[in-house]
Amino acid sequence: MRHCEPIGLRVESGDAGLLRRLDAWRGEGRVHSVFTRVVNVLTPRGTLIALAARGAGHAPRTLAADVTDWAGRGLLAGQAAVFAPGSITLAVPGRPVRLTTAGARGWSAAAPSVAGLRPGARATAADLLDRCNAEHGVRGGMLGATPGAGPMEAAIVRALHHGRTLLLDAIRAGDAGLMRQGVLALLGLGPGLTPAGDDFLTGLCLVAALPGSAQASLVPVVRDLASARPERTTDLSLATLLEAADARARAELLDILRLVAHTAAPGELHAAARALLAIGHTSGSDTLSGLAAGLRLEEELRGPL
Amino acid sequence: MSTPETPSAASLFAADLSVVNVGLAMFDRDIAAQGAAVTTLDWTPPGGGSAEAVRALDALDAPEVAARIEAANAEAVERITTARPVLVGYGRALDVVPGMTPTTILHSGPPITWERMAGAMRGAVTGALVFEGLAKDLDEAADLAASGAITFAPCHEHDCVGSMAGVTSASMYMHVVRNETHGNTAFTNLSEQMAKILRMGANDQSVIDRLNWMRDVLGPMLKEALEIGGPIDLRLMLSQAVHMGDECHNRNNAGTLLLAQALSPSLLQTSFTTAQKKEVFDFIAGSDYFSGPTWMAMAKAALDAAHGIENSTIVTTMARNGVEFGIRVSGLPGRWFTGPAQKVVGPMFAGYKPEDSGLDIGDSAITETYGFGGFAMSAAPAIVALVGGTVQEAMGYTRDMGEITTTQNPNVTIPALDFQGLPTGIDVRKVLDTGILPVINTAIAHKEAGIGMIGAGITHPPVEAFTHAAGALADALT
Amino acid sequence: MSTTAVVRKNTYFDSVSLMSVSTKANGLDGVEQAFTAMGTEMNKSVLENLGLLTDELRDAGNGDLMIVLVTADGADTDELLAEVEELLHRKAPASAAAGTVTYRTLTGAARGVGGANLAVIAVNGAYAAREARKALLSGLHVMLFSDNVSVEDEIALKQLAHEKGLFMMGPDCGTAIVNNVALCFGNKVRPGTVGIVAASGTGSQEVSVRVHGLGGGVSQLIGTGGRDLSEEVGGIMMIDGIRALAADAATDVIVLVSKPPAPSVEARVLAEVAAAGKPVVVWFIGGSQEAVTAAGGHFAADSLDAARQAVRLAGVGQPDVEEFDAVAAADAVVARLAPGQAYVRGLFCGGTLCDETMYAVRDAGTEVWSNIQKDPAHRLTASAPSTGHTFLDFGDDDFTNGRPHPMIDPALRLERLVEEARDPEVAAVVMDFVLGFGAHEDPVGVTLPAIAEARRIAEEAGRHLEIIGYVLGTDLDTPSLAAQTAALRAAGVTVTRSSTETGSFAREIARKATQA
Repeated sequence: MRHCEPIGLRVESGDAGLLRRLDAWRGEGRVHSVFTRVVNVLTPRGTLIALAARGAGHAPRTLAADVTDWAGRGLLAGQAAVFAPGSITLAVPGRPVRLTTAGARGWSAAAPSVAGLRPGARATAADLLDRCNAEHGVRGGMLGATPGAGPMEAAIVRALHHGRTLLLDAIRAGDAGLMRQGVLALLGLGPGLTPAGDDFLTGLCLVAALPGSAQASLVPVVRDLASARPERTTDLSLATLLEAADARARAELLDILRLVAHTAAPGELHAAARALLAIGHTSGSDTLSGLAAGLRLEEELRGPL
Repeated sequence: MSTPETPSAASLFAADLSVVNVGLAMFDRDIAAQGAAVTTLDWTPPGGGSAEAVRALDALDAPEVAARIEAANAEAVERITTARPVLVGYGRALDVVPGMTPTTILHSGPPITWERMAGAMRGAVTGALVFEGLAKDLDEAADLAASGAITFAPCHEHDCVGSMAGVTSASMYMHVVRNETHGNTAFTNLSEQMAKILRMGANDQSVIDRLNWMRDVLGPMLKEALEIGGPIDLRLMLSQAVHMGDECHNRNNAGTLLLAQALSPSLLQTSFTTAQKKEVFDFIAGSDYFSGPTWMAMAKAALDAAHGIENSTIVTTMARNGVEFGIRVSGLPGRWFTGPAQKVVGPMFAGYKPEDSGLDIGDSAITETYGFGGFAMSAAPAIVALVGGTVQEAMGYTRDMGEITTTQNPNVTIPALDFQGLPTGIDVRKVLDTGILPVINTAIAHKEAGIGMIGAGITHPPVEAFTHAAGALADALT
Repeated sequence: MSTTAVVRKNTYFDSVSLMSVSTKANGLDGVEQAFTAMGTEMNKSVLENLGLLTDELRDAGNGDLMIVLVTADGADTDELLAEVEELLHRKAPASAAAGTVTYRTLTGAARGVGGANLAVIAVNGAYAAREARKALLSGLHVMLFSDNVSVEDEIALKQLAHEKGLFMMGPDCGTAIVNNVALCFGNKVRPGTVGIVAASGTGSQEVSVRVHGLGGGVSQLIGTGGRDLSEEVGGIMMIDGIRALAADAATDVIVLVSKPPAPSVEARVLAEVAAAGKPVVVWFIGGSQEAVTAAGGHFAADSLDAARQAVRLAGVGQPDVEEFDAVAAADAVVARLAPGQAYVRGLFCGGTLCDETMYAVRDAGTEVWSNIQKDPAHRLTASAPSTGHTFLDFGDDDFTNGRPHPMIDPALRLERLVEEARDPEVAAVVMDFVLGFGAHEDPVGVTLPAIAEARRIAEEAGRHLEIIGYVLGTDLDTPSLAAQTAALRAAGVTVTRSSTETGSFAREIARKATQA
């Protein structure tokens, strides 16, 4: 049968850790969700990985294939994904798609440390990021309501604000119980495919997970809640958040942290922030809010010393 | 077994299915859900569903008729694209425009009587009669206009085009543009710059004073300057202006700069006083619109060369008088096909509301007939506000116009579209067949006489004009 | 202020398209605010605090997308929901660059969309031929769904397509499966090696579904339109279809489906059958065996027979299913009837399904009346009451005049079912339920209230009314064959397993009830 010959695609690059682990996974997973530029797949281990189109950007648990997009290939959620050493085959009826990983370039998702910066550097960076966010970001999530917003958006924005205040106060106080409440107040809250609260948590948790962070006590709280209460939010959000707890994040976030770590010029930092803001609808803004809040806290918690 | 002499439809089985869906959107969803590519058309029935349009299109589709039309249209667009209009001089209408008399008033659009004229045109006519000294004030001018002593005629029927009301009287100075390729000449008067001007229907003393100055200083100085500097190749200059971000109808920043650059050395050498020269330079600097009329005459010179080709369905004129929108078609010389003038939609000057707007008016749609103006929106991203906002939409306008035109003009190209040529040669059949109406960028005049320009925007011709033209073509060609 | 909501279960949209849905929904008249968010606990608790949490929203899971509309007083919420659905169904752009392009004409799309190769045209008949011609001239294969196209236009289009090596399916072609993609009305069937060329929409759906049911699969299903095998058109498309499938390496067996062709056309088609170089099963509904066999074709007496032979010749699947004992089944029904209950009434959506059952009854020597009867003495109009054994095709022009097809809008058929139940002479009502793309999203569900009503009426009058339902569909369709069948059985309907089986069951009931 002509149509059963799989269409071969090459994985051009990907999360180096994932590429290493991939060979050990055999068996059947399934397609979790299909977007134009990204297809998410549940592995036989039950973890979620992303198959991105070329140029969709590097991210943890993500492989970039040599396609411009995934449209028109018949991919649907629920289709089988067969994992074998060196390949993943998506069982599209009639014309399966096989991705091979041989020769794929590895990309490291690990973040740098911002622990050793001179006093004030983190706060300066946070100021710049917040200004950029206020100027170019999208409202409706952590940035506050859009002008003329209706009652629902207003209520969501209020709840997000409440959650943020609760969580930041808890981190300042170093109170794990309160942190738990704060995280729960944000997890799964807000508009968008990845709820705004999750995006904020991702940015914040990433800073907390950096080597030498003064707010490291947030990380176990996030990890515990993510595994104990997975039903609180979407699979995609959860996967991203857990990666952030391992100090791993998508390239746009890491670029910002690297620039902060090297005290780069404001122009460079501004450009990197714009790249992050371009992600999703409000996602970029919400993540950037979390990142800036994290940097500011980092400064604050070290400040008086 | 596929027969050897014909290609086999079985080749479809080896390709990825990519469907163009026409008519029922629900199929789009089902096809997409199965993973095939699908493009659903934004489809409208031909001629807006008019039976007359469908009958005419069917008649014009007969293979023998269609072959004659194709050949005639090829010649028509060849003439439009190869025309090389050159600005050869300036002169008083009475001296240069064929058939002009001291009591003739030319106006924009299809023929219209004084009684039916729109407010802006009436304002311009009475102002012009005062300017010519034929009436002592506006009231007397109105009586004179109604008396039958004044000859009214469309600009287009005197080798002219007129912006907005298009009102042209004997003493006004005109551009003289000769088509070097085909030998015909076209005329249009000078930009009055500003918003409160005769062509927009304003007619108070400041307007008359300016017209006097234009007659006594600006016109003669331009005439002398061109005699000193020699002719200017307008097609070349238009193409440069388009590369610099003008669509040369509503945006003329680059074109005015280029034209002023070409004229300046000669203007300095004219016999006028330094004070007068400064007045002229100030006047030119006063508005980016200075070169607007120049491009209209350029387009008119090219399109007149394509008028009167037997069997051609190419539109050679689109013009409005504020009451009716008229088109003329190459294969039916001398005839106007009309429908009601439409509203213009776009941003208004502060203090004015849409209900203050007069209907679409002016011969300036000659620019779209040639292929720039609204057709070249993709060249002028700076003014996309006129079309509601995005550069993508502007690109869409030019692409849509490609669907109703016959060829691309290799001499005037659009950088953002990989130097694709202007969409050229509006075909009456394609307009009806696709349901896509030409898009026209234009100014908005106040509906009352005496006020002037109050905004700018886009509009479309009424489909009836094309339906009537197609009907007449079907009668003439079959 | 009140809320109404759309919940999309486990559905994922690109954030760009979601944003545009949200923006457009906010612009709908009567919508005070539209809000899109995932159905997480936190989001629901915010809605609950605002008093906006409806039951539907309460049931949303964290992977489900909620589109919440706060509506103005007096707004038509059904209408708004329909508009939001429409926004959601609008195709997401294939890529950022292509997404902004809207094509207005076939010629423009054929030029602008790389790889475009087939046009599906469903416009008013007055414009259909023009559009089809444009598509062919642009090098696109055509599936012409529209009807009311003149026979002259059809011939000219098919000749043009033939010269250019393109398919011209239709006019009036409702079903095709090309490269495993079902177009317009079609079922989700397994890819396989059986190729079908069909002049009948539901006939070809039935064969494809039976092939699937027997474990086989379909390579291509080429529709020709109902008039292709007429004297005038001369079978141009069926002949091109046979040739294309003969040349297709993925097709092992060809099945032809049509009403009996005009004699001269039949000869030409059978010549192609002889030259095909692979087995060809011929089901010409009610046609004769001799000529088919003489041409080396495999004669099929009915749709089930056609599918069985195809699967056997293809060497796949399991053609042997348990035979249906129509006589025994009919005996059991007739035993429950009251005196005077003598007639069978068929209420069909599918033309060929109606045909097959009606002919099964008639060929047993029983008189039948129908709106699609050729014999004028036995023809009924849409408005006429049923008489004797009546079989109605609700998809025929008589009924559809100005209305959507009954597969989409079942109202007329539901009324008729209740009407038949009131008739003391009626022994059994036969209905079909067509699943698949283009069909009603729950054809059985929408009929259940009328079925209950019909049964209640008969019961109150002390009669047993036998309701027979046939579900045309597969386990891959949505809703699935199994789910729809189960729902019918639960409502006391006797469910048949094929169109052919439906015919024999109806035939035996008609025979025995009339005699009783």
